[in-house]
Amino acid sequence: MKEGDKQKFIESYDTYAESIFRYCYLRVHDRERARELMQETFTKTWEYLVAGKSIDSLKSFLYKVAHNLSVNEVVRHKSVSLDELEETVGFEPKDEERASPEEDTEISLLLSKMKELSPKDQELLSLRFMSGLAISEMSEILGEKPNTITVRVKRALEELREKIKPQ
Amino acid sequence: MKDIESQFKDIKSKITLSSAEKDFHRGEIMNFMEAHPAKPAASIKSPFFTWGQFLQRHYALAAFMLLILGGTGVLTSANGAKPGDALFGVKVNMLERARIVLSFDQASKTSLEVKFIDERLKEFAEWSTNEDASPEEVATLSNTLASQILKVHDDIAVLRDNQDLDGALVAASDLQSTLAAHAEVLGQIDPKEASVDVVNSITDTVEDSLLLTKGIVDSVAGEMTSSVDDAISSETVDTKQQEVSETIENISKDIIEDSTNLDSNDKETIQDSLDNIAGLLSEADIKNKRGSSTEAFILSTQADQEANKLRISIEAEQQFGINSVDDSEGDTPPQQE
Repeated sequence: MKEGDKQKFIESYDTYAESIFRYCYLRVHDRERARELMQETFTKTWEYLVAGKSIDSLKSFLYKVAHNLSVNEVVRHKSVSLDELEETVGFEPKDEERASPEEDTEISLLLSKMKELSPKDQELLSLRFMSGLAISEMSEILGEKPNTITVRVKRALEELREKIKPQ
Repeated sequence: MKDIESQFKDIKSKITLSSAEKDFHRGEIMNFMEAHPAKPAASIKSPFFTWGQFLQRHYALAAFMLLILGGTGVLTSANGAKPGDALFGVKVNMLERARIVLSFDQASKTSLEVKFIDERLKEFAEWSTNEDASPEEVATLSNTLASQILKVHDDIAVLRDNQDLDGALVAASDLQSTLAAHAEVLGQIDPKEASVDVVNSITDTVEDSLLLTKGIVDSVAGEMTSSVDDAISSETVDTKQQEVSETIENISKDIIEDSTNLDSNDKETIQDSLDNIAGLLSEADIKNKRGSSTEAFILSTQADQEANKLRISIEAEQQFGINSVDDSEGDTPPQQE
């Protein structure tokens, strides 16, 4: 492996660390654990590469690894309910970026309503709107056809809209 | 209450790593990399665009396709293929795709994709006047259209990721303009009973996509105005104005001269629209000269939308007999073949 490849990998960390962290956070709802999972995503990917295997799209591969690690994490901690997570962990914006109470209420409402969706739908919305992934990238990560992803994202978004609509 | 997309954006901006956290994990990962040195065969493809990748893959493939298609004469025949023709699939899946792949950069690629969406919608308008079109042809057209619109949305996201906000705004406003113009024409179609569901379905697709695209335009414009460094360049405004001028020129030369389907009401409506467009362009020019390039771009985009709406309405009226330029009573009845 060339020295330049190491540099490329570190550049990839600088590019994707934030969005992988966000993706993990929205799956496990725990900031510290999300940081660990983000780091593990990069070290696992590095292990894969040094084993002599090649990767076509590093971005998609990183999300695939993060997806698998998060699924394992959620299964491991299944005994903790989502409601419990919301109460104990809650929404944790950085102190210096704290929004107005109204904005925080809106965001908390959105997050709590998102948790009422199926885990698959939560993941779809998170990948599409929080990670900003293209449909083609989501298709590669989740192993489903682009049309299926499009329809499911649209449905999940509609369902979420219905849930947050004032009664 | 903010819309969901804005709230997602808020959440996105709040779930972040601090610089210290990012540096800490970078250090940990670098230590891990040192402890796990690579074997010689390992290969990482850069996540960033390189000319090498372009030439190795897409360019070579597209050039090969064009060579084969051109050499066999299929190219010329496929170019004019309509839905239902045997070569329609070749045109959409190979010819148009090859042209997109051969585009010089992401912005030109997206612009070409918008042009092809315009083509699909024109084909649909033509289909709506053709009794022989089969449900399969319409389904093909509808699926192709939906996936092409989706592709443009994805490509706009890529432009934004690449910090090409100028390019993203131009592409999004072009798409908005095209969809808005066609939505108007679709609203004027009086479909045969058997085609009502199909026309409604395509109209829904276009209207939903238009709403989504408007959201994207607002979001990109908001992103640009929130950063002084990312204000739109006056060259982009000039390019947009040039596009509008060309559209008007084409309307004047190619369409108004052949005005067999246009009555006096239509001509009056066209003249009003042209005056309105000229007014918007002149206002944009003044703003641009005063250095308000973003405002100038927004005015030019409105002019572009008006011009596209006019062009598509005239084409629909002349070519397919859809009464779309001026739908008031007293219009010449649509001519059916």
